[in-house]
Amino acid sequence: MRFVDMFIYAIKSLYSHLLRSSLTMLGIIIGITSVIVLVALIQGVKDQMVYELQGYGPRTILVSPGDVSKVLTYGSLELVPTSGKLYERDYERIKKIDGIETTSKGLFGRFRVEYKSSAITISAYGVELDFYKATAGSEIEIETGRFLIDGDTRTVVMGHDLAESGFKKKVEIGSILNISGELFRVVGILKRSGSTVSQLDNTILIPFDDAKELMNDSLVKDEIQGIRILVKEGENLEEVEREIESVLLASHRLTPDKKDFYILTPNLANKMVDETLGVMTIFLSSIAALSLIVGGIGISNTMFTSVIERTREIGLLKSIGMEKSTILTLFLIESSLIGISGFVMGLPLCYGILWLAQEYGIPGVVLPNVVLEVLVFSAAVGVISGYFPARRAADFSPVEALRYE
Amino acid sequence: MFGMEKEKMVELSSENSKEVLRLEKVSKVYGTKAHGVAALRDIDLTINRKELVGVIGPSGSGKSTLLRIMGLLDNPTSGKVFIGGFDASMLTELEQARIRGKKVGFVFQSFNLVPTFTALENVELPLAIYDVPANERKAKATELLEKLSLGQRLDHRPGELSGGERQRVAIARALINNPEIILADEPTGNLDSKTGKEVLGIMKSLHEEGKTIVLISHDECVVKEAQKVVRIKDGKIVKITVC
Repeated sequence: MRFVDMFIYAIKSLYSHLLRSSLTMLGIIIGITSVIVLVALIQGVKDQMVYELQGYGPRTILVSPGDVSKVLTYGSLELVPTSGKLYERDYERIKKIDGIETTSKGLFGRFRVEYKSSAITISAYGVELDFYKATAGSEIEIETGRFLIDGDTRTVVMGHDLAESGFKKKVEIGSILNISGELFRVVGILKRSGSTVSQLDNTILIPFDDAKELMNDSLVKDEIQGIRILVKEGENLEEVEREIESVLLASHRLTPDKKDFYILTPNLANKMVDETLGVMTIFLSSIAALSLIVGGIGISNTMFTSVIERTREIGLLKSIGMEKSTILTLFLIESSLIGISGFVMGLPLCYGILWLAQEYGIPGVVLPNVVLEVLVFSAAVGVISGYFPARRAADFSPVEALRYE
Repeated sequence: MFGMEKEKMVELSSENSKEVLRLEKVSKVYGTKAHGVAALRDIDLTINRKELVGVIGPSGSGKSTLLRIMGLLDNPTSGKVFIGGFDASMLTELEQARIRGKKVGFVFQSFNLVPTFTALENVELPLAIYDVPANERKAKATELLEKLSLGQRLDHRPGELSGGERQRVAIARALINNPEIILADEPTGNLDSKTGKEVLGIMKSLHEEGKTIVLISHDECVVKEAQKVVRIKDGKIVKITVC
C-alpha cells in the first residue's frame, strides 16, 4: 500500500475520534511546550548574561583578588575566596606590559550616603580618571554632566536609577551628598545600562584617592581591589592575559597552583556562563522531557484502545489481503501523527508564551536546533508509544479478529 | 507470481483449468487434543470454475469454519487446501494474505465495512493495498458501484446506508480485484426478506456473468438457485446434490 494512502487512512482514523485524539495530543503539546519554553528562557538568560558581561567591553580584562579553581568532577568554575590581595606595585608592573592601551586601578566598598533628608547604604567604586578611558566599548556612558577629571576631589558620578529614585528627592548635577561623613558634589549621572551584573545603575563612582581615604581603616598599605585593563585593538587577548598572570605570579612570588588572583576575560566570562547554565539546561530540560514521556504513555493508551475497538476492522483488512507489515505501519503512522501533530500545535503556543514573557521583561531565545530535536523526539515518542499496540493489531488472527464482538 | 518459489506452486488449475478450490480430508479441531471440539471432520470438496455452490447446515454445523478455511482465513488442523493453483499448506502467512487479496472475495453477514470510509473508499480499499493508482481505482470502484445501483451513494459512509446498500458495497468490494472465487457467509443474514432477495439476485447475476460463488447459509431459500448444494452437519458433509 502506498505511503500516501496509509497516511490518509491514519488521518481518517484519528479524525473519526477527534476528541480522543485531541486529548491525547494535549499531553504532547504540554510536553513540547515545557521543553522548548524552558530551554528558550535559559538561553535568553544566558544571552543576557553574556551581553552584560560583554558590556565590560570585548577588549577588557579585569584583575581581582581571589582564586578560580576548576572543580574536576563537574567541570564547573568556582570562585574560591583567598587571602590574596592586589597592590599598587602590581598595578605599576602591569601598566608596563606591551599590548595594553589603558589601565585603571580601583577600590570597592559600601558607604552610608545621605542626601536631603534620606540616607541609604550603597556600593561605591573608587576609580581613576583613566577608568573612563578603560571602559571604551562598554556600556558606561555619561547622560548628564561629566565624568571625573584630573584634579577632581570630593566629586561623585552617580548611577542612573540611584539618581532618579534612590533617595526621597531626585539627585541632580551639583547636588551635595554626605558620604561617610564627607561632603561630595555630583558632577555626572550615567546613562541607564540595565546591567544586572555590574549594578552600575545603583552605584556611585568617586575619585580613587577619596575612596582610599574613606576606606583607610579597612585597607592594608598600598592595597587596591581591582585593576581594569583595556587591551590595544588588534592585540591577542590571550597573550596579554598570560603576560598579566606571569607578572602577578612574579610580583606575589607564587606558583600557578597557589594563585591568589583571577583574571576575567570575555572568554572566561562566556565559559562561566555556559557551564553554570549548561548544567541548569540539562536538569530542567530533562524534567520537561519527562512530561513528553508521560504524553507518550497517553498515546500508548489511546492506541491500545483504538486497536481493541477496531479489531473487526483489522480482521477485514486481513481478509482482503492486507499484510501484517502494512497493518503495523498503519498504526505506527497513526501514533507518530499524534506526536507530530502535538508538536505542530504546541509550537505556536511556545512562541505565544515566550512573547508574553518578553512583555514582562523575561527574555527567551528559541534555537532552531532545539526545535528540530524536539520535533524528532515527539515523532519518536509517537512511534515508540505506538509500537506495541500496532504489533498487537498486526498479530491478530483474521478469524479471531472477525469474530470479535 | 507474488514472488513465490516455483516449487510451492502445485499446478492444479491454470486459467483454463476447471478446478478453483479443492479440499482434501480437511479437519479442524479447536482447543487441545484432549478437550478439543471438532468443527470439521474429513471434508473432501471440490469447487469448479463458474459454479454456484450452496453450503447449508444448522447452526454449529461447521459452515463458517469451512468458509474460513476455504478462504485461507484459518488453517486446517489436518488435510490440504488447494486454491488458485497453490497448496495452501506450503504458503507463508504473507503469501496467504496475497492469495486472499487477489484470488478471493469475501462477503460477510455483518458487511464489515470500514466505518470511516465512504462507500467508494471501501470498494477501493483492496486496490489500494496493491498500489493501484488513485484515479484508476476510483474509476473501477465507481463503475462497480454504479452497476450495483449505488451511483448516488458513492460519498456516503456505511452509517448513512441501508442494510441492503451496505451489503451491495461489500459485494462490490469483493469483486473489485476480479477474484477467482467469491465466498459469501450468510450474506442475507442481517437483511429483511425483500432486501435479502435483492442481494441473492445480485449473486445470481454475478454467477450468470461467470463468477464462481460459494454461498453459506442455514436457510434453504438462499441456496435454492445453487448448482451444487453441500449439506453439512456436525462438521461432516452428509450429502452433495448436483442440480
